[in-house]
Amino acid sequence: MDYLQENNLLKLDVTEETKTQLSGISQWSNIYAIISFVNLGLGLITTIYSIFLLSKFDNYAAGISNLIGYLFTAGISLLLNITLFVAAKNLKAGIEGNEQGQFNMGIRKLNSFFKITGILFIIVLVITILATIIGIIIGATGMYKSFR
Amino acid sequence: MENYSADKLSSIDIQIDEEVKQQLTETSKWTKFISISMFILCGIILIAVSVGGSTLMLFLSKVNSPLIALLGYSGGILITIIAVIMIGIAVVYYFLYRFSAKIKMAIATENTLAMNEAFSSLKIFFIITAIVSIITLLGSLTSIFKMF
Repeated sequence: MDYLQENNLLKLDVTEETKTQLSGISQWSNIYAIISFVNLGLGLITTIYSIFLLSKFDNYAAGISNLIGYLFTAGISLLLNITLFVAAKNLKAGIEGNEQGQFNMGIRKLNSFFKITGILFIIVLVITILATIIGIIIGATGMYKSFR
Repeated sequence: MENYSADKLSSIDIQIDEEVKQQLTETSKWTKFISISMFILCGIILIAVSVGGSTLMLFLSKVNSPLIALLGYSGGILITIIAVIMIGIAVVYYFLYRFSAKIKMAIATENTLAMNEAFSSLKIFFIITAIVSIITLLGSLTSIFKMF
């Protein structure tokens, strides 16, 4: 135990290996965030095109619902990817410039990214469970009525 | 003297301080929740596909789609593809789970080696998700070019 303490092995140190791994995280999360932004842009193009096509058949309601659906998912995706992008930028700046403040900000934003993702998971899970329960109730009511 | 102080200040490296430890502990909880949720989801889909596979194939045989015709009505190719995708997703989220477990252990035991392994797992997770998003982007671009 004394040997471990004397040799600083019982302390979380930022070694060169740690920096390499964190740089990798920063680099790949940055790539992921940028590609997600591009994907959002492509989604916008396809949504506008689908609205244009639907308007040819005077189906404006479907076009508007498409747009609302896109804006909703794009808003969530934008929030997530901006958080990840900021995390990547701060981690990189913190490691390269030995800036403790920026490094802490990077880790904080990385935590926010996973926290938002986790909360979205919970929301989707609750909606899925509720939809299943409602589906079972509707199905059971239908079966009960058909038996009567 | 001033030069000495400046040199000493510039040599101060970033550290895993209390705030970083707190943020990483919280990240560990969220990543654990996300990865376990994904394992359960993949498991449910795998069970559903293997149990209801024949019903699914019967339903798909009634759908007039060239893709389904290409896959073959009676073959279990589609089921195999779904199973492979689910196993692939589970493998990706295993790295997130590994990050969660290792970083928790690293903070509890002040183990730098475990922390480096945790960051390595998170890096692999981001590498795979970035590559998958690049493939998705290429798919989207192809479909947009076909659309116009």
